[in-house]
Amino acid sequence: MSVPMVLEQPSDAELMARVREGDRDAFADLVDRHKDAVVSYLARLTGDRDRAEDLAQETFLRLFRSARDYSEQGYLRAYLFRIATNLVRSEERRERRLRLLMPFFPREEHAEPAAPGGLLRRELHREMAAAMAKLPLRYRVPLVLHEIEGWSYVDIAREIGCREGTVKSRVHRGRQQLKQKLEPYWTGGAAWKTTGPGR
Amino acid sequence: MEDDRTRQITDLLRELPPEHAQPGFTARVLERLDAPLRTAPRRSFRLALAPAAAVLVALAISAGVLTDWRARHREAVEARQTLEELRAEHGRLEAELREISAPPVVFLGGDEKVDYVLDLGKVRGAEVETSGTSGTSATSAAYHVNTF
Repeated sequence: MSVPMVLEQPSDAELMARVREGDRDAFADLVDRHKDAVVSYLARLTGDRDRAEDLAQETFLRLFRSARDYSEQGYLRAYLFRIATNLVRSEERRERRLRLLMPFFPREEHAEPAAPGGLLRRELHREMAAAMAKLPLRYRVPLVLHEIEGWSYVDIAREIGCREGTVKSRVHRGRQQLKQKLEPYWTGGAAWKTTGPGR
Repeated sequence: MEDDRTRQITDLLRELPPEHAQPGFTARVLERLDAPLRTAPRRSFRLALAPAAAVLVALAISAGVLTDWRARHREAVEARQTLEELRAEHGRLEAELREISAPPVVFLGGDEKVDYVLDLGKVRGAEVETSGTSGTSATSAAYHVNTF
């Protein structure tokens, strides 16, 4: 009886080494492996599903074009998140400058992500996503990384290049601002509480 | 209450459903690898027109400022011309007034070498009658002769 061979998936480091040589199949494997995480991260940062998808594509393109400069440190996903964050930052800066020049151009309304669950819960998720997208980026990034992606304060600090205390402070302030923005839901919130998760 | 709300915020954040890439995502990325290099995805035609719109706005503002400056310059020139005309008119009126106000000089007569004239401006408190070219019928005692 023959023993079936178990093919191990190549690691990110191995795939990136091949991408540096221009291997598009290796690059496609990396995209397949990390696309959902990058799209989800960008959707949390921007509050706009379509925009997140577009920015995610650009993130992977930049990964490919900068593959020769990539230095393997064992965590490709963090590198992808860093590229994605910089893309959001650049885009928001550009939009701020354009808004100064063109006050008569109506601002595009970004589509809110749909959420499963009951009507009230969906509405709350929608409000949460919208409130999150309006936070300053310096609070939004650590909040998403810690609360949604589950990163530790140490990892976040190393990734964004600041001290652990600073990360904690920004996460705290981000939460405070979200609480303020969702205040109407707290004060009228009996209905919300009854539809919340059973605890 | 505060801790409860913080916990609710955290719960809400973690409840947000994860997003997934649309079908065909990887294929689209590979297609864009071959597309011309661009720095950022173009999300809006309006954003692409923004630099041109900004230039047009700047030109319109400049044109408006220039038109306004020219109009003010023209008004200033016209005002200066009017002022000069008024001053000239004032000068003429002053001269006329002086002529009217100044007492006349009466020619009394004379010969080739001497002219006899009566300057009425220098006659004080006396009535003076002017006469013809012979000048002999002047009744005022106050006169003097100017020799030219």
